[in-house]
Amino acid sequence: MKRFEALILLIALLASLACAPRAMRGGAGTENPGMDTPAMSTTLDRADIDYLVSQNLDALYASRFWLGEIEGDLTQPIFAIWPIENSTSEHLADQMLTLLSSIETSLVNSGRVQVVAKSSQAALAREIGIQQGAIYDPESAARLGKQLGAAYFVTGKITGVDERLQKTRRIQYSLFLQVLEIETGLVKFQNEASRSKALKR
Amino acid sequence: MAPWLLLWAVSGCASYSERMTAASTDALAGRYAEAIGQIEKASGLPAGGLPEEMDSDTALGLLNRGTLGQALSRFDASSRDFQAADKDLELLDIANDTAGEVGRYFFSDSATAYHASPTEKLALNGFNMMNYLALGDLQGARVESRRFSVMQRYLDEYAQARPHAAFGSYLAGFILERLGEPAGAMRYYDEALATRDFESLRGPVRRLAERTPYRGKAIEKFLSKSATPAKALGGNESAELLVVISVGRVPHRVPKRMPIGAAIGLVGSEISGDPAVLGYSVFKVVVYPGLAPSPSLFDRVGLRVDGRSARPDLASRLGLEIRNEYEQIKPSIIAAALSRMIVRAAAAEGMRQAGNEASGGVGWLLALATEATLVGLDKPDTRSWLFLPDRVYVYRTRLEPGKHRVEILLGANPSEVHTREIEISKGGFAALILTAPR
Repeated sequence: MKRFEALILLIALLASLACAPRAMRGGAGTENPGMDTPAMSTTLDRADIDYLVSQNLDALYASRFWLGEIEGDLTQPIFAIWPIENSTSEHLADQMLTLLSSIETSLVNSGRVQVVAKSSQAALAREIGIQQGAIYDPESAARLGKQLGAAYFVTGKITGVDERLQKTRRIQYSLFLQVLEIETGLVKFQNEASRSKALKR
Repeated sequence: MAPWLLLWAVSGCASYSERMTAASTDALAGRYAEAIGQIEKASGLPAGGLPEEMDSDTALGLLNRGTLGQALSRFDASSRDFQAADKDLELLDIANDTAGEVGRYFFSDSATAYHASPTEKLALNGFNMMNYLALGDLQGARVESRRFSVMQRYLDEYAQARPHAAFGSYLAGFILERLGEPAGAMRYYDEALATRDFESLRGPVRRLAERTPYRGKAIEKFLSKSATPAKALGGNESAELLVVISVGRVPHRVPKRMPIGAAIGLVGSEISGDPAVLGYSVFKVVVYPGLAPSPSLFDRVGLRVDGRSARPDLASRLGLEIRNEYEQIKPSIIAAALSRMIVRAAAAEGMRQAGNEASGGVGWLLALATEATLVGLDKPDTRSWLFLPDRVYVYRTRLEPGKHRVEILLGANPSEVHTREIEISKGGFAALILTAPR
């Protein structure tokens, strides 16, 4: 009888272990390289951000503006990044941090421009009364740009066309990226990249 | 075996409204923090955190905890709960629920995934707009206003009767106005004004009319009745105060009983199955989820700004909207309960015949046990957003920049006075949110 009870206990223990949540490592170089591939929701994930940023920046680096004015400028002009406006129906505060960092990393690694550190930019913006997360406006940008010594601002907007049918919800995201010349306010480069996410039965 | 089965079946598990009794009692007494603890216990939510796995109980728990969090002015936590509930409810709407649908026919409507009512769906984004406004986060509030519009469009196409949720349109208009989008603001105000005239919108709508050509039908009518010149209502250098007061609780669902004959007479054409089989049933009443009024301590709401009386507009009567929605679907609810009774009676009759064939005399016992078991499992679906406030009042005015004292008076005499000292900068705004779901 005791052996029977011990067996039951062992089975219960094994069953509980099998049901316990398990931490996993995923991504390139791990035993689960495809862990980041499936979409988990309709919000933007790392794969979407990488795609939207790379599409826009590849277009920037291949643009006439970049090849002519930036690559030809040996002084390495200073770029500052203005927050990207979220015009979607999703709360994207965390995704925006990733997105801005990705843009910053790519610009720095291009070796063709100097990029103002986000921390010093934020402090200066506060100093001259620009609220955190404020939408781009030429007047504030000119004031901040002068303080930072920047020649260009990279900014943009994420839009989302959000539709819901009975058993489906789809959001069509577009990331518009712009490079604005601070002195003149002219749009020197603009591009759009799109990606859709859906939940469906 | 049969008596044990019968006892187990009849005792069953508590319905949603029964499980929430303790939380309800605490909230009624104003002990919101204790009520949150009770909700967490009853809904399987971790204390102060989000659940690892989502289901109908946790989604409802988040809605209820979010409301009480707002009542405690914990706007960050409330916003997080509402956001998570919004996502969960959307997944529950879209998810495949075959097992739940099968269970619905044999056992109870509670076997299915919870689907929020149209009023609840719209109110969710409206109440989350309040959280973001209280935090001064206009961008976050703008995201919620977009979600509100997506849901409105969806309900326009699929819901039998569109709930008004005028307070959501009012708040969305305010958010767009503050963000400098006059045409968008006017569209939302047009929706709000289509339900009733808002005295507190007279000034803002006149001012916006000078900045955008957009005119909806309700705005045209409203402007024709507003004679006050816009310039007399304050300049751009002033500060703005928005007050949103939510009181009472919408009616909640409770188990109700109705004689089978009356139920068949009421919804006969909607029943699936042959009602004649009910003649074999030992149970002669149908149990279905009905609506019962919830406690509402404050029948009056008043306001004083810097000692001067002000009259808030009653923007939404959510309790009435919930009741109208319920009355529309009531025949289907009763028909579903009757259809389940037919399934149970048929199953019991099958057991009786099988039992009698196998061993004469035990058929009736098996039939009784079968029906009792299924009856015990049939808990009326009393799930709902229990702490959703019944009425939402709004008020806004322009003030001189600086410090101000706002008093919110609840109940007759009044029974409660909530005083807030606020400071508004030039050209800025302050949103004062008071939620008292009792």
